[in-house]
Amino acid sequence: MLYAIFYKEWIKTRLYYIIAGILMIGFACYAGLYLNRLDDLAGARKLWEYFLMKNDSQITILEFVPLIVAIGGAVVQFAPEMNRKCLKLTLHLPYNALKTVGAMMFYGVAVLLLCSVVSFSVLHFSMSGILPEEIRSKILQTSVPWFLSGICGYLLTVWVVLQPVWKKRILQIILSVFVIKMFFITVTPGAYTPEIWIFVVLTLMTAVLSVISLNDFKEGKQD
Amino acid sequence: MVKTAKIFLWFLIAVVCLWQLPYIWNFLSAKQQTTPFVLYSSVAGDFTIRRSVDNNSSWALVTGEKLTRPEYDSLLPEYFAKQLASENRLPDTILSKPVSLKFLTDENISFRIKPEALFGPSIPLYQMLEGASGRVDLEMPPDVFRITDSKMEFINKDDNKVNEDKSTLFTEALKNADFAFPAAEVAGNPTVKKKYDNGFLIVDSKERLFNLKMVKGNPVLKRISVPLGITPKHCLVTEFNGKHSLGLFFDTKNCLYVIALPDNRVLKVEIPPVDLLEEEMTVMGNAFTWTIRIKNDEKITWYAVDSQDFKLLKTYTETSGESYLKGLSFEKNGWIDLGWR
Repeated sequence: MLYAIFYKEWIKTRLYYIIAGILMIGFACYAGLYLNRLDDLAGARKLWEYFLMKNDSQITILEFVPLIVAIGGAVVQFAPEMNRKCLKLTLHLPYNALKTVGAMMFYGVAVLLLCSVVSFSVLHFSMSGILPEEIRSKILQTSVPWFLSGICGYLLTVWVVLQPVWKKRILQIILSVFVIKMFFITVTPGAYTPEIWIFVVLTLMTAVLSVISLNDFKEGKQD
Repeated sequence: MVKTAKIFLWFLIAVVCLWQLPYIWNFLSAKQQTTPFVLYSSVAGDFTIRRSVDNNSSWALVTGEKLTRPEYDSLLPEYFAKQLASENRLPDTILSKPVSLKFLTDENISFRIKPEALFGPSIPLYQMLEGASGRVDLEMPPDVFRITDSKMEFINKDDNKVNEDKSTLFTEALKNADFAFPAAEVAGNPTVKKKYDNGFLIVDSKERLFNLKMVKGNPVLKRISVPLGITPKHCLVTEFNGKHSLGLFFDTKNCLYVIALPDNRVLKVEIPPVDLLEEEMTVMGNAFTWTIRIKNDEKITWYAVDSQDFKLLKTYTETSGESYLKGLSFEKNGWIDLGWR
């Protein structure tokens, strides 16, 4: 059954995720290439001095990419289910409704994680020849909350999309905006690192919010 | 499951409210703050205050005695030497000491220490400038160094490779001076916007203080003798034009000390301990006195100390006047640090 759900989700979202995945990895490639071009054009000395004295990561072009890709992914995956009332059919399958939606969300998170890991690795390897470990690690640490915001943004978007009542949906969007803002408070390299566990827990916990929307949907609540 | 989800939802709502509502309140209720500019006058033997309200300035002594702008300038000849010289009012002597325009301007110093500069995120790589390159202007070095658990390592910026010869040379110098790896604190000013280089102040793992410089490519290492009972913690290298000090350091009790040149004597600055995590320190000094401003959320205190022996001369305090509603905050000193402030 799980395999069938994953397959169904793949059929539904493959075009989006292939394009969005290429886009996200493409941005990571561009950020890496940009650093390499700076190294070539400005010189390694200037580049190192910049990182040591300016507290900047030079990869802020990536900042909102994981979030945008994730929100798009959640909408592409769940909005048709709501519009075409397919979710009602899915929930009538002889399988636990929570597990069904959970599997759908697991699929989305897994694909986003894959894109994030590939993008992160691209970034890591693109810098390895030109920058020392200390600078590289600070730049990579800067990107961690951005990738995490993607997962969190996906889970919050699912929560919003699954909500059948528009009034509640608007309140959920407002709350989600503030929750997402927590991942973008500062772009200082490494600033999130000591307390990144809080944001990991927050991201994991947002997965349970969809249960509320699902419950409202099952109870047939409407505007 | 629904109950858990609802509890988490209300938790999130509470977090967002505690974070955003005080912020919105403070944003909307904020008023223009006019922090007075206070300097100690060696001539008057007291603090002078300049206040600016709606682009109108007023000058006075802390005793309340009002001053005109020319009177104010003449009470602070160290800071307004150029203005006084242009009006032919620069005194020949201050406190019986002969002075000149060059002497006064050369001796002026100012610097600020913010908590985020000491405790904020930073990259543990340092740039050691050549102290005697033979050139008038300083140049940024072609390498950076790190201090590991067992050695000092220089990495070439051009090829990102360790310079083994230089690393061995400096590591041996440190080992010969009984330096205990790793370093607990490394402080320097890696900039060419200074007239000379005092190198780095380094605290080793046994809490001993060293000064490391590079002269013609070779390490010059000096152990700074610190009086018993003082444990250096946060250091700052000073490269003032007057060349009277090597640097400053705060000890584990947050007391401030100056390392005076030429003999690297450690002198205590007679001000109360500074809460480095919460307070901002600004120093404006001249040949005779330093005015040290310590600012926190509640008050601003100015201390006047003698610039030779750093004995306390006078103190002046004002409440900061910045009242704000506390709330949940995500950021402190450059870090993401969840707290109620």
